Amino acid sequence: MEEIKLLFVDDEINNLSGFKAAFRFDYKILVANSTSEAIDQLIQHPDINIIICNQDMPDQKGVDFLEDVRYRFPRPVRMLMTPLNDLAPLIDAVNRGHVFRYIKKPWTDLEIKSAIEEGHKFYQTNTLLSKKNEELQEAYSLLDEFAFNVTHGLRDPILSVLSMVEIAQHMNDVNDDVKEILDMVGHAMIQLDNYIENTRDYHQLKNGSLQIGNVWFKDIMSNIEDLYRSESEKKNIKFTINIRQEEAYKSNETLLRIIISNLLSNAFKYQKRNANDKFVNIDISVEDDTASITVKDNGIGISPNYIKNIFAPLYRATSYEYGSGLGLYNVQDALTKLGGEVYVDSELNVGSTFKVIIPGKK
Amino acid sequence: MSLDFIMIDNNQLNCFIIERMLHNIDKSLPLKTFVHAHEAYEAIKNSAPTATDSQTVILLDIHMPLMDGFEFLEEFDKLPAELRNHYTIYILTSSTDKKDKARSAKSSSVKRFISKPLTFDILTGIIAEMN
Repeated sequence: MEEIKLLFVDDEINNLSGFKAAFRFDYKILVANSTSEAIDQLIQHPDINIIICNQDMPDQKGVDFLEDVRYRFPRPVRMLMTPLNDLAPLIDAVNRGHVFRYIKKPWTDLEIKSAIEEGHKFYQTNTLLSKKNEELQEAYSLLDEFAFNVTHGLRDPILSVLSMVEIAQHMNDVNDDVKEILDMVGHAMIQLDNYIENTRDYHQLKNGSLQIGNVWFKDIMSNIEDLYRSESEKKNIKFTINIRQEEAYKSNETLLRIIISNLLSNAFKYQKRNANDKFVNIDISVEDDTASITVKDNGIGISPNYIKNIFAPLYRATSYEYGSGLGLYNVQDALTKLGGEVYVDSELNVGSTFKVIIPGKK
Repeated sequence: MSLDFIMIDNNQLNCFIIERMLHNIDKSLPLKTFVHAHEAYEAIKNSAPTATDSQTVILLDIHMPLMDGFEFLEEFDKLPAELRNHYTIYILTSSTDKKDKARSAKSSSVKRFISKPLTFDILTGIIAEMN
């Protein structure tokens, strides 16, 4: 067991030497005959794990001293020593939570020993906990860095392949069969890239802090629109955006982006292949400090048997298109963080409507 | 006006990509590629633009080993204005991180932030912008 280092504070020299003599074989004992001397000892010996202080001190009452100490030196376990006829300050101290234990005066060796053993156990648990917390923080930041490096390392070659596919498609002597295969290669790369982005979102949702600021949906959409405009042209899907926001709205932009991107991505992805009146419609309105986002499509829809599962992680309701199974799970997770709700209305072969309601943050 | 290109990207493949794309668009557009940003910086520092209206487009990646895109920008911004005026920098990166975007926007030499993949549309857009 780790050595117990104890600071005993009393203004009477006799008490100090008596205490020291009684426990010198059991513990490492430091003494102070005033509270200012006690502070000096605490500065010089940061590894003190227990403080026992007499209540009746001339310069400062033991209770007040222990309360001060608590802020400057939070680690050691604090105990107050006081005669039985003077319990009022003790009750106060215990209730305010800055004294771990009370030792009555005059003390017996046995009482002191049991108080110290218990106090030390408490000290060890606390120290271990804060040490583990530090280690956890460190591990989290390492994980963040790792996730960033992995994401970057994976995406860079994928994006190169996409560019090379484009170069090949522009070559004059490439026949239609090869062009079709190149299309498929490009498509698969885009899917893989989306998958990586979803995984990164997932990581961010799990570990990111929630920064709240003023959000304008027009700004969020201008960025997302570019992305889907080209997809809408390529796949011949009519894409309409409606935004009504006149008041400022406080929320976390990253989470809103994750929600909107995923709902749109699904709406574009799960379209009927041969239909010619395909559409995706997004409607955003902010009213009374609440945002409503509705994404509607006339795609393949979701079977009623599956609808209850679509927000579960890694769940996929269709094998029709390639997906990570994390998209709607991330949506749900982001909504939980923002205190929002999602409503799904979907019919197989008719289309899906996802409506999201999110209250503004204060 | 004469226009030429510099590509700074640690991935040799990306240098190949821009070579092929530029060649497809306009065979006469000169291009230099650098896989080490500091070599590009040295070349730019020691360059002496001849024609007053010559313009060089720099396509700059951000996350690179050794000197990265931000460090390059920091050094580039210290060059004399007469030299810098001949260059226009576009960030071309696989990063979609908003922090990267914000940080690169701080340099007045950066014209725009472009997310990879590089496409013909993006390149022709840049050329049109420069003319």
